[in-house]
Amino acid sequence: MKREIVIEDLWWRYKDRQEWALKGINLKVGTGEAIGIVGPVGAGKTTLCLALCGLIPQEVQGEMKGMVTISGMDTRSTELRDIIQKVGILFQDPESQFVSMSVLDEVAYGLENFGCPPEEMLTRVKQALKIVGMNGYEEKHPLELSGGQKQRVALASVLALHPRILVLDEPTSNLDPIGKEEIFSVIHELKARQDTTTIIVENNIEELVEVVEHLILLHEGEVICQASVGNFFKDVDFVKKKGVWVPQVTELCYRLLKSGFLEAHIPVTFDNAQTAAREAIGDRRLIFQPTYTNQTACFPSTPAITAHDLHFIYPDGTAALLGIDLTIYEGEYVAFLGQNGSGKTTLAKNFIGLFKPTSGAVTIEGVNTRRASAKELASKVGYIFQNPDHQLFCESIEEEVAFGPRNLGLSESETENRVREALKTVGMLQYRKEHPFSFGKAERQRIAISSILAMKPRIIIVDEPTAGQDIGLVKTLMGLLDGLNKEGKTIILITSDMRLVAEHAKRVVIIHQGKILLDAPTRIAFTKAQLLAQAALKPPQISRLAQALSDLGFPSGILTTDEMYDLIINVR
Amino acid sequence: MVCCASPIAATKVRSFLFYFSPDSPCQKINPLTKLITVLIVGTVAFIIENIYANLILLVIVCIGLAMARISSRFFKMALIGISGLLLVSTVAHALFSQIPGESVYLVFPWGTYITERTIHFVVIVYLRFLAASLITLIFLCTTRETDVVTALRFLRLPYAVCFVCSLSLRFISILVDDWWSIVQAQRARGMEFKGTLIARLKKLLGLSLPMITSAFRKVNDSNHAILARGFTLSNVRRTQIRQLRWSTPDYILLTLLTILLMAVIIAKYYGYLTFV
Repeated sequence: MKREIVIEDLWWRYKDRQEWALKGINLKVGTGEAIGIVGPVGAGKTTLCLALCGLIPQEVQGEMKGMVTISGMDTRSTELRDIIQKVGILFQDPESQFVSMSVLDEVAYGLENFGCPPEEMLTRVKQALKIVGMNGYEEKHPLELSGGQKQRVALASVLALHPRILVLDEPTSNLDPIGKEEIFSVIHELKARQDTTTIIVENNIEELVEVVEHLILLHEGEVICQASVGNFFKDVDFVKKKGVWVPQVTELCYRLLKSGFLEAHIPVTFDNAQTAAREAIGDRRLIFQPTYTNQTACFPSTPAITAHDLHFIYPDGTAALLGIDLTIYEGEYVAFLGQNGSGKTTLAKNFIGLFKPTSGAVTIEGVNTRRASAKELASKVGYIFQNPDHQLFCESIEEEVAFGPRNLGLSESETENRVREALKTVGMLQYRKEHPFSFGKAERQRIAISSILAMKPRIIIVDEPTAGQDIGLVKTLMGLLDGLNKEGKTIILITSDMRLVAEHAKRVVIIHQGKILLDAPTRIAFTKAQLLAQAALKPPQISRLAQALSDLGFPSGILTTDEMYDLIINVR
Repeated sequence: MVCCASPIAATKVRSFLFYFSPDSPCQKINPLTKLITVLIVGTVAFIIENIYANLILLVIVCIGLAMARISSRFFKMALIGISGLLLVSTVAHALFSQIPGESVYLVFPWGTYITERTIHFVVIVYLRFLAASLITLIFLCTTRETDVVTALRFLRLPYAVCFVCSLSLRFISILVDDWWSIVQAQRARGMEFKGTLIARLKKLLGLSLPMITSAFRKVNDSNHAILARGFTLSNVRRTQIRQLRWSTPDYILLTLLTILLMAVIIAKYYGYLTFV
């Protein structure tokens, strides 16, 4: 096979940094191959992508050792414009890579730069838009597109240049479930054509394993594992320890293998796992049918937040909420699900008084949000925003955490107590004098969380805390939230990660087109496949496996790998 | 070939400021013509200094406005904004001009005064600004950003200038979004925009820090994204997917505008239309 990409002992260090971001990478990729790159945050995945398209070393400042050859071109000495005619790269953020004022201009952007004749340009643009399913949107303005649509346009603008190599750097981590699915279906289609070499960096491992042949584990700038998809998960514990997600079905089969229920082979895709699970059970029967307790029945407590016939219309006339009736009780752990634009974030922002109802009412601990000040509401409800960088602005971590309590008008000694306590909860107390921006994203998120905890709200709303994060950080974060919930705090989790919902939330509220589509205990919610599909949501992989095996007597309300494992090992 | 004036399937098209209906007659003329119209009408408004001539010009602009079919709800909002600007400029003229007249109504402590001719002049100033802002409003409401960029490129402006224009238009909407998230993140921590002007300014300054960080990162990302698609400032052969289409309405409008401009210049030269 022809070698499309050859990386020989590549070292890279960013300007003004001590640490090498890439340490001796060796990689050979043949024409038409699809390779997945996984690894924790800060492993050097994006750096490697930039090195693959020549932006490193040509545009990014730093020091390089070793060699990268793309289709026979040395990236150090070939003109950048020649390299990128061979390599197309799609970045993570759909917002910042969209630079034109319409879809047509955006997709044509690269072609214009290369002087493509107008007639040919139009053919190529139409073709590229067709591949990503965005034909008919040519004259749309970027503000009229969803994140997933923008990302598909960005992909089209790369495809229009007819690259031989496609580098996708976390293409779906900023997208909602529909957006993720849209991008993956395009990747599937491209793969079927077999003429493009594809490198995908992706956290969504369950989707990734369906489209690549090889996986590479990058850790602290080094390749520590490189194998075919089938062999990559031979040692699930090792992979997990290195901060990489494992498909739920793979984890299940790995544990079944260890306890002797399966042969040496570990499936990674859903279909193979289903076959494997059937093999493991053979003609035996499940011996016990679990009776799961109905989890909402045990909430006779006082209401924390009540929305009554809540309508919300944005100043530009967009009706975001159309009559929401919802009560959230003290001590609950609720997940808000729905697509971007469904109204779930708007609802949450009404719950902290950032938005005031257009009609209807929101009552927080007995206080109508219309009659409460921002200060009063902030002491009752804490809102942790998705991007910690949108809120950090102080000179030191302690100042940052003290900002909220001071706004509440607390005394200096009380503020100090709260700062200390909040920083201790997130494990950042020893760094209190340092500057928030001298830390990585994971720590910045913890600082942001502690700045909310210091205000001691009894209700905490968390907006997409895990988008694009690795397993280690997510585990810490979710552990923190579980702990707060056990202390009696009410948690509202806005997320598109169904696995987290299944493992942590007790109640699910699905918002669809400004209305509540479903409000049920998590275990029941994930059995309502039809309602979920209406909001373009899917139950977690393990629940889907249980549902696919219902003919063997599996209950449809399975939520975690543990539950599934317990059922299977108890067959007779 | 895609033309700016091509009929668009969508029911509403997003312009600079709002949505306009695609069957508006303004869609039949190309963006370069529109841009020239704004420039000429604006120039004419400031050349003529005669209350009747200014009124006639305003009527012409209003006919254009009626043809543009701008959504009335939005138009009211824009009109409020324009009125504010107009008020400031007319009051400033009234307060600080020294136009001698037959009867002096008012003398200000700083030495300027108001005569019957001051009032006459202020009315002209008002009509001028109104005509100029209305024509700009029509332009902004019926032209898409992408069309403006196309027009600029057809004026043979350097590529860098056109690209920077286009990119800044794009970044405004990105940054506005960021700004709102940042304001909300701070309000969620109990910050209130109250207190003295200095206190408020200090709070604003605090907010600008995350704003700058975020903008910096986005600019860096965009930079990579455009470099990865062949952006270069050096002189390479570039092509354009959008072409300007010249049709009869364009020629008619441009001819009329030329006649208007010539007539006004000649009249002015011979002393008509001048405020005496």
